[in-house]
Amino acid sequence: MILHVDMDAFYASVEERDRPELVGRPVIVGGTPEGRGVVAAANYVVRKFGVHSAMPTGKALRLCPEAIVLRPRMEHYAAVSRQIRDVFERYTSLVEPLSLDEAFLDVTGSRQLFGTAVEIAHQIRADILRETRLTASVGVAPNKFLAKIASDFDKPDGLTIVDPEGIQQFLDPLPVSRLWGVGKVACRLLQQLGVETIAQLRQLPVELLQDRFGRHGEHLLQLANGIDGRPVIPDREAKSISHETTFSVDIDDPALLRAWLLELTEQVARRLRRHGLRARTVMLKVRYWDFRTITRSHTLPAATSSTGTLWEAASGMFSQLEAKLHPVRLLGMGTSGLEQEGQVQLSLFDEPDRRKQHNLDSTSDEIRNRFGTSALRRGSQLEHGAEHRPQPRPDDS
Amino acid sequence: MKLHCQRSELASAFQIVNGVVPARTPKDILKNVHLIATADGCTLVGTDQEVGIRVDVGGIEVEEPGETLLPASRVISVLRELTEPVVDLELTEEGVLIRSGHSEFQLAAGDPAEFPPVSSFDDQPHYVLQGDHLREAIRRTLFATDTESTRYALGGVLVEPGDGKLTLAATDSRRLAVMPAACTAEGVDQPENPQPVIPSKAMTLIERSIAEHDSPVQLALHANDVLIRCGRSTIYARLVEGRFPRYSDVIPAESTYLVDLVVGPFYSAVRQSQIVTSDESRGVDFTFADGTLTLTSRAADVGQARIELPIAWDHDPLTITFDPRFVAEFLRVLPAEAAVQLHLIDESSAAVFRTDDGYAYVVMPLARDH
Repeated sequence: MILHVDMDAFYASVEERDRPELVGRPVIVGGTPEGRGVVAAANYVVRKFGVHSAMPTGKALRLCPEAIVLRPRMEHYAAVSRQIRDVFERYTSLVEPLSLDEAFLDVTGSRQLFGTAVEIAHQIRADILRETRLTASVGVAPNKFLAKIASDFDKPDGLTIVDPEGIQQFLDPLPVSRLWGVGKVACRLLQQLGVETIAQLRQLPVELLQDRFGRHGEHLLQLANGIDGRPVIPDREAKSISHETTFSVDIDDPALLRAWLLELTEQVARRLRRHGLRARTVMLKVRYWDFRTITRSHTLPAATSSTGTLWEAASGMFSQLEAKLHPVRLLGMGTSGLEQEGQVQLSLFDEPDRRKQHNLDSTSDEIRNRFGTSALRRGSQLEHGAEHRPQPRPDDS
Repeated sequence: MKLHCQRSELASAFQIVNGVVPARTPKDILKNVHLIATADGCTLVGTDQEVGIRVDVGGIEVEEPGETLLPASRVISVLRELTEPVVDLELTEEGVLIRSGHSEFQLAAGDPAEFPPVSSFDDQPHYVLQGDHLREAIRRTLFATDTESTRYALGGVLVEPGDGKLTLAATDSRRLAVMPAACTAEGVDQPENPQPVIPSKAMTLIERSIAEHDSPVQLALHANDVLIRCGRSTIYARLVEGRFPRYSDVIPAESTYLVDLVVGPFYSAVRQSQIVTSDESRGVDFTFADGTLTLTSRAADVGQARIELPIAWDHDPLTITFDPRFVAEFLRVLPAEAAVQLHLIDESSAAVFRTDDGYAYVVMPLARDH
């Protein structure tokens, strides 16, 4: 059985905990409206005004003028996140963190020691509350996809269980937008087919879905039937590290796509460095407006975690696609062939360059760890507003 | 066309030409060898269009001149399996007839007019080198090339014309091998290409074609290609495109420490230390301390090794980590009794091995990550 643990309004809740005078008042953690910042987290009071994360702070303040805007304290949140992670690891070593505030846990092997999955979920919620004074919502289900939906089902401070026998009963009434990979565009396409709920989607012939969504169509049908075979992969055993983003509107401007690709590359590179890993292979993934998806990969002469080197490879592959660029719906950047950092073979010819790159990477990592991801941004990313917030996706590979 | 050949001579000439015949190619015609027989003798020609070779075959009696294309791999098989010393070749309406003793083969023959031409070495400005000198210089540099480099032209050996010598240099950007070979210039005033890089494949061919040790080798360097005549072979090669890095800049002029070593025992120690390395931990620590060089290697799930070698060292201890393959490959091309000097600066700077005949080999160490 799989648990999906999702902290409730994490950044905002941490702030409320640390400053009790905020409790009951509308709180936004995020960038300032002057700096064209966005909402990183909103507490439940301010959410009632229609504020949600990723919304520009300026707009949020128009919806709720009395909201208190706090600068994110990422380092602090990361420390709390580590405390929570420690709780998880008491119950299982199979922990796959998705971000600071959510993770998948595979507790199948832990039941002999700690009781049923539901009992473990209760214990984890209690441990977190006792040790951090924060609440978590947990979904318990036979697979990742269902657990993720379940944790969101009764937020905040909820526990939702999906029995293997009750999968269809649970899924059928839900709107199709709950399926991973179904955003606005796919929703509209499904609406044209008269499909609003997962039950209706399940009735469609697979050929029709394949016709509209390509290979993704079959995948949708599997999800609608509650089938998801992906294992929980602990970060340190990850075979690949990747990020991808689905755009709210399809993009065909190469400069804008490049800005996004750079953003994704930076995040992947940072994650590699955080885990002390280097990657040998760089992958590019592009899904076009019509769901046609292509992937390219490039193997480097030596494994690296340098943003500059990874970007060189990713942007090189992207350049080769540019000529045949149609509107793009999803862009992804990934790395595989991961190895632990150890000794590096020094080079005869480009040493100063490598050292400079390394210093640049470690300095920018430090700034972002201390002040948050958006504290340091590249010109192209600012210009195009390319800022990626990692979200779990159905096919992260 | 009608020829009487010595089987062994024909077979060895085919073997040499086969060095350029591509195993896989979209152009099937390149899998052939072009045989040209004139009243003066017989020549075999092969090419992959980057590198080409012409080999004069000895021991052939030309009864009737002519030319034909022969399928390389099949003819080599035939020549290998035949047992009689004499082989007769004849071009007929049906193809090429190969007869020897009680055996007869009839092979389809291609049209020689369609075969790409390979230049011959006509009268032109060139350098002359002693065969064994050039061969030694190739052996000591060729192994350091990097055919996968995209950044620099490293897929070959730089043959840099200088005062009374050609300097051969090869690198894969982690180590660099440099070896001069004395030469005389015949009619060359200004080199057309000051930094010609000859592809590895051609260098291998040249090394193999230098038959007799003291036979002279003629080398004509052009802007985009090179022609070499040695013994019975003439080799043509298109030069590797791109820039060779400024190799002389990375050979440290001065060093802090100097260690004298003898190839045989040092090579043996390095080979031993290599046993306990893995893909994840390739490095071997070379610790120079009072009177002893200690090589230590360890790999997770494998084990560890410690090999000691007496040296003259009276400084503070110094540990420098190398990929042992790079050290071993250098030692392998030298005779066991040869003396080498190792010049060191510190654990993160280039180390240089030198021999007294002008050979220099630079290796970059491994560094702890971050």
